[in-house]
Amino acid sequence: MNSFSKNSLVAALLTVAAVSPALAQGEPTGNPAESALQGLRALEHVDGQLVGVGEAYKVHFVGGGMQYTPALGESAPRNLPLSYTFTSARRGAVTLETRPAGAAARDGCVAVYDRGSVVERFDVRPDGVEVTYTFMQRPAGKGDLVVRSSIATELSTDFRGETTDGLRFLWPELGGVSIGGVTGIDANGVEATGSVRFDGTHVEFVLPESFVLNAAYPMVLDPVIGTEFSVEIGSNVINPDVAYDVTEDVYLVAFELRHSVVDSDVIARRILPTGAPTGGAIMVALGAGLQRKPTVGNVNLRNRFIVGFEHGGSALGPFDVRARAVHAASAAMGSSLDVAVTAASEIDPDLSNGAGVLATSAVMAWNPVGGGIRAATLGVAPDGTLSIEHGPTSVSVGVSDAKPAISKGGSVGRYVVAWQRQYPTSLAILVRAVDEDSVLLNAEKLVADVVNIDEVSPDIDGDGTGFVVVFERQEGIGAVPSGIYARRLTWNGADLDLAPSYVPVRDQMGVDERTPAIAWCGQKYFVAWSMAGSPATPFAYHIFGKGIDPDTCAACGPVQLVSGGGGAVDSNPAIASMRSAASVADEALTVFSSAIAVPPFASTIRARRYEALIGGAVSQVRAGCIGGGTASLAGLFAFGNNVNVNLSGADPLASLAAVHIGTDLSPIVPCFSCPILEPFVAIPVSINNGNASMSLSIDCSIQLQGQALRFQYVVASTSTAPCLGIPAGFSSIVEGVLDF
Amino acid sequence: MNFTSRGLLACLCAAVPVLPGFAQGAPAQGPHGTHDAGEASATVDPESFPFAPAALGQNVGLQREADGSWRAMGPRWEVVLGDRAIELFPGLDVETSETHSVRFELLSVGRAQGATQTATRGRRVVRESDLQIRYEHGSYDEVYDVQVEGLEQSFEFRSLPAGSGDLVVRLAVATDLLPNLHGTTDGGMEFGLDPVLYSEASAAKVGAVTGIAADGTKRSGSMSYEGGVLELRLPADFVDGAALPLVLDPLLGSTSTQYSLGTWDQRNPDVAYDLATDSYLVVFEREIGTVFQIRAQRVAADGSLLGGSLGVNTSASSKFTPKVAGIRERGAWAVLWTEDNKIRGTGVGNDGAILSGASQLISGSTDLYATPDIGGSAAPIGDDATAVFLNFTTGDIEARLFTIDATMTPVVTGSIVTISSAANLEFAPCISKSGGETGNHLIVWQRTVSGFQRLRGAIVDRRLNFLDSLINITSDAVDQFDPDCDGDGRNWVVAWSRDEVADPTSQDIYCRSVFLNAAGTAGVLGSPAVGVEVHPGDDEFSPSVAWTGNAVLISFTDGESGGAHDLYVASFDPYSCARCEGSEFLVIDDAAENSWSSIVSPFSGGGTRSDAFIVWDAEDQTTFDSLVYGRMFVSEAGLVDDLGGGCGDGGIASAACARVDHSAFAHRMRGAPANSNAWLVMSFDRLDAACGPCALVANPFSGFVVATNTDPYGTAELAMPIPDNASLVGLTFFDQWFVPGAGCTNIGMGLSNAIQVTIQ
Repeated sequence: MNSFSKNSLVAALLTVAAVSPALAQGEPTGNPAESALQGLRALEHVDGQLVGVGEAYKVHFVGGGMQYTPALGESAPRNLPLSYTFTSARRGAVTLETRPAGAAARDGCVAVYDRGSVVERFDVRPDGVEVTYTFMQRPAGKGDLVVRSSIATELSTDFRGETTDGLRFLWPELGGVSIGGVTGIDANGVEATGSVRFDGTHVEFVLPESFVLNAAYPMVLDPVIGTEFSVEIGSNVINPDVAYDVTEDVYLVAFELRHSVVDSDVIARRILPTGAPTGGAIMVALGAGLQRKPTVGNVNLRNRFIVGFEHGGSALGPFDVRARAVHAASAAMGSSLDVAVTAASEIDPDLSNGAGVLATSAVMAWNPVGGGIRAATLGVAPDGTLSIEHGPTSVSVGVSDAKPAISKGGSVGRYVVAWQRQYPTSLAILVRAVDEDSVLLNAEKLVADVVNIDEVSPDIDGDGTGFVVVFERQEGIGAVPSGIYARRLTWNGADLDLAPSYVPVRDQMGVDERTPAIAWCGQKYFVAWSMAGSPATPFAYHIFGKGIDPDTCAACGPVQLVSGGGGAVDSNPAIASMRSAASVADEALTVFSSAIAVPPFASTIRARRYEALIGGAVSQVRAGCIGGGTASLAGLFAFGNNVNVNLSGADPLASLAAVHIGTDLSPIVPCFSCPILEPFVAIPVSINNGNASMSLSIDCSIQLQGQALRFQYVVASTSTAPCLGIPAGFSSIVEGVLDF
Repeated sequence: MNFTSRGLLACLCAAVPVLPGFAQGAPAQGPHGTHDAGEASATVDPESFPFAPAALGQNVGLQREADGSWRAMGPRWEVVLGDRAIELFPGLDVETSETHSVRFELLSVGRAQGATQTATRGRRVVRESDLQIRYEHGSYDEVYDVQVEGLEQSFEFRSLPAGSGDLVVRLAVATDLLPNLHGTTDGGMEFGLDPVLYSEASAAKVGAVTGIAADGTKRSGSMSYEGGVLELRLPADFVDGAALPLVLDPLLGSTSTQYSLGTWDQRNPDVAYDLATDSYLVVFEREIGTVFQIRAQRVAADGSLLGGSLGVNTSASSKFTPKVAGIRERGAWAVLWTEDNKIRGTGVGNDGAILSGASQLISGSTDLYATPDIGGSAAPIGDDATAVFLNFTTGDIEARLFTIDATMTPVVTGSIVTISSAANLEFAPCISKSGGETGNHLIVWQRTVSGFQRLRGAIVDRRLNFLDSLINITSDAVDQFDPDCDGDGRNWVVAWSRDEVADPTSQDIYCRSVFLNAAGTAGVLGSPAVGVEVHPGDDEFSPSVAWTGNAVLISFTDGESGGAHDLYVASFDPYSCARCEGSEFLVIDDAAENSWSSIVSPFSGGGTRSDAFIVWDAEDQTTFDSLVYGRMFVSEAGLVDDLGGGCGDGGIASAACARVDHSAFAHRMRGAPANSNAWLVMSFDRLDAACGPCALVANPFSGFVVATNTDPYGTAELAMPIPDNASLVGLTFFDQWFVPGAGCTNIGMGLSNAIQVTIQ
């Protein structure tokens, strides 16, 4: 790729805006971490060892490998690390020549072992360690490319064999370490899915020969090792939902504990952002009969969660909808409220969060079977007493309407309810907006209605003005597999405007993707779904997720394996984002059911954190010269984020400045003591007292992952001319590497 | 003790008495059925009966006979149209010892003055769909139109015969009846029984002569009868001025108008289904003079009659106890009956074609046989029906395959198989209406043991090989008799009459389920004997059974306090015999004797609809005339659809009676390994994941997973009462079972088929 084409791509990537002088002194518009651990990652030498830490783990790079210790909380009897050590790489029968690695080198948050023909890199990310193997040229030999490493751990897995879905090493009732699926990425960004083998002591990452043969080099093999934690262990716990409380910085995960086909209870647990449970189990709904399908919302001013659920006497119904408030700090509960109680069945409740930090109520949507979709506003009194403040309102009246979902977040008090409806040839998705008092704001609108193709199981989130609805869509007429699709909705003041069409989030033909969930994370949405695993592991489903662009719904992050792999059946994901609960953080928690794939299909509740923005490495490339000051980047240099290119310490009398933007291939011309970055674009900005700032919006052009961008301020000086008498100072050159 | 069975009675009688008959319309539907005191009120639910009782034997028909002649049939008359003459068999309203007829042969056609044309039959043109036969004679046609009232004979003149004067048609008449005319009349004439002996007897009638010109102008003619010649005459002035073609139009019939709705008796109906045409064939005995013939009528699912009345076999000898079964692969019905104490049969295509002129001898040719029944084939492939009957000479229950082959020819195949041998102690065999998917049939019969009638059963495969040769269905010391049964090839229900211990003159109805064990080697009693209708001192009898796939329906006759009998139908769980839809449904309640019902479901022909067609004979308690009626019953016993997906040791999932307020609802599996772990997956959504050759349809990851064990017969059952809540109507769920063993090899489990259950 030459510099011209790269510059062209970069130009397309960036949206640049000059910033007012007031902002120039202020904080970057990127998202500061609100949670104490949000965005945490570090890699340092400690006592001669290279040690890294993420939000739910620490990692030591010793002995030519990595020792990954998941943070499993105070219930863990001791540290339960997993040691991972490269042993070989081969292609077919030909073993690649590698050299013994010495101590790991540190490159920002990346630990590097240079093994000759392959470079092993461990990127210490907040959510786990991304392991990559970079092959600078096509390996000799014929056949698949296999990287083999040894595994040593007390954590256990029953899996032996080969899977495309990754591995999961667990400690009972606590959680453990997952090793994600393998992706090959060539120099052109072409991806291929590989497989993982495990024989009890060695793990092998395999890329298919067809990809290895045709890949543009350098090519990267890229699994992720991360911490997955258990919310609840039991033989029959399913149907989780989750919400976040910003005041207490805690999640509440509610789920259904099944004792028998006629007796189930709703239990909840509070989970810290680290993933560690806090406090004991909260018995939200016990008693005779079935309490099931919980939904959780947050009402921040009352410092409480609301847990809604179905109650019925038989597995066949009829069911009523009830709700109960749970204090975010103490877990104290108020009385249960009958939200919808008739002789008929009312099912599938879904709760929003309250509108902003001052919210005292949330909106619940549910389905009176055969009677459309209804919504009501549930108010929480200071003492935690729940009441129906407004409604119920008939959002729709279609007799076949079902599966309602309501958006969670936003501070403007506007929500959108999505649901499915049976039309003559197929099922379709509709939406309608309601306010915080459950007043209808517009007429119902069709979001997805392809003849003879079912679109079902919607979920929706948004900030009150922009929304994205996701849903399952049959791959074809009569097809069993479905894909996951999304469509943007925008409130125009009187109605919802729909994006021209809906777009696929994930639709791998012939592979079933189902039960999507979505959460607004600030700069992007995070979508999770359950996807069928390898045919070699029947019934296996795994949770995948990725960030999507709020405007286009295009990918704004890689497809990630959220749950562990193997033969497990991970299903019914639910997501709570901090942003949707009045936080400014970009983190979310995905919870899901995880069952074994043989009767009795014992299931647990697991969770995984999601960080919307991680960002690439930021470094100073060159120092500036007199009068130029220091350029810096504020905010995570991540797709979808807004960062500020700041200047400080420049000539205080300067009144004019410009930002030069180049890439790592742009020439840097020395001029006496000044390095001058040859820009492909220069943008004037105002400067005040030697400080300036320029806002930079990084869109979701994820094909540019790994691309380095460089920035330098050129300051019109009134007092110095360090470069050939030019009355200008040149700041340091700062570089940011584009990443998710 | 009631020793006789219905079929036995009919067989041993040479002829059923023919009694005077009067007009009898469709029985009125009782507003609400009233059982005898102490019984619960019956339910009349219009939605359960889409149409009123329909008379099925009153239709007309026209069909070709084996000898080339044509037979026209009305409710009260028949005419055989031969090469030279027609022979009218009138319905007579009194009992006679002989069959009477009037034979008409056309002698001549011409003008009174001029040469007469000696009649020679010209080309015969038959328009079956229009029920018309036309003989072309050159300048005129001789036309016969089949009408309910009789056969309308007319002569259509394209040109007038040469000569002048009246137009005269002369017919030779041969009859053993007495004419009431000697001379000339402007009206019609009759041929009847001796009025001294039969003062109110009806007769064969020749209606008055009418001339009809092409422009519609009409003129009455006259007729005269002398010396065995009937002369029909139109006056010359009308003939000469008439616009041609001119029609001379008498009516040959059996009755005068005041008793034109009278009928010959129709009795002992049976019914079977055809999937391809979604229609039924009803067969029944019909009296023709002193002879009993087998008539049939096709009926659409909406109750409308399809085509004309069919003479299944019109040979001169009497035939009784017709039975019919569908053969799905051929789109045809197999019909058999008792004739000259032998069992004979033929086939009827689903288009109404009689498949063979000559009947097939199914039983042996030397012994005496009676009380046949026949089971059909519901499978897409398989053309065998299985006939069972009593060898009255040996006292054995015997069976034989009766096939309609690929050329649509009824064929007896294989030899006679003795089902049970206990000389002079066995009676009244019945067989399931179809073999379901497997082709297996249950045969049940009465056996006298220790002086009591008991019920025994055997299971045979589609080739009449025994899977179980003896199942003791009842064994207690009380007479139990008159069984009927139906099933799906793996599971069956038997219903029968049982003498009340305290009052052996009254009977109750009981039922019991039977199933084939997983190995396919033995029949197992699936339920105890359960009372279908048990009211002390009240007589309930004549049960008939239909397996719908979602439930089993049992129709039966129930005595009224006034002496008449009503007909009821009720639905039951086919595995437990528990009542499905609350109380029974009243099929017919009027002053007639409604009895001997037969019920059949589309399931017996490979269909899936949950309705059933009930036929019965209704005898007027004043005239003792008997007619055959039919009525559709729509069962709402829940819907169960088989979605497949099973493989290996997974067994067969089933459910029945998925109705609100059904406390006995259960999820079931049969055919799995014995004494094994088993897990039921019940979900409200589908997973549709493949596992080897299995497909897991039910979703264990969102639904319920319930552990249990199979019993020594490889069955498992999990009760789940369905609450009494109307909002559950329409609720759908999926059942599928896991059993350790072969099938989905990756997990070492077999999967049952998945079923989709919808609550009604």
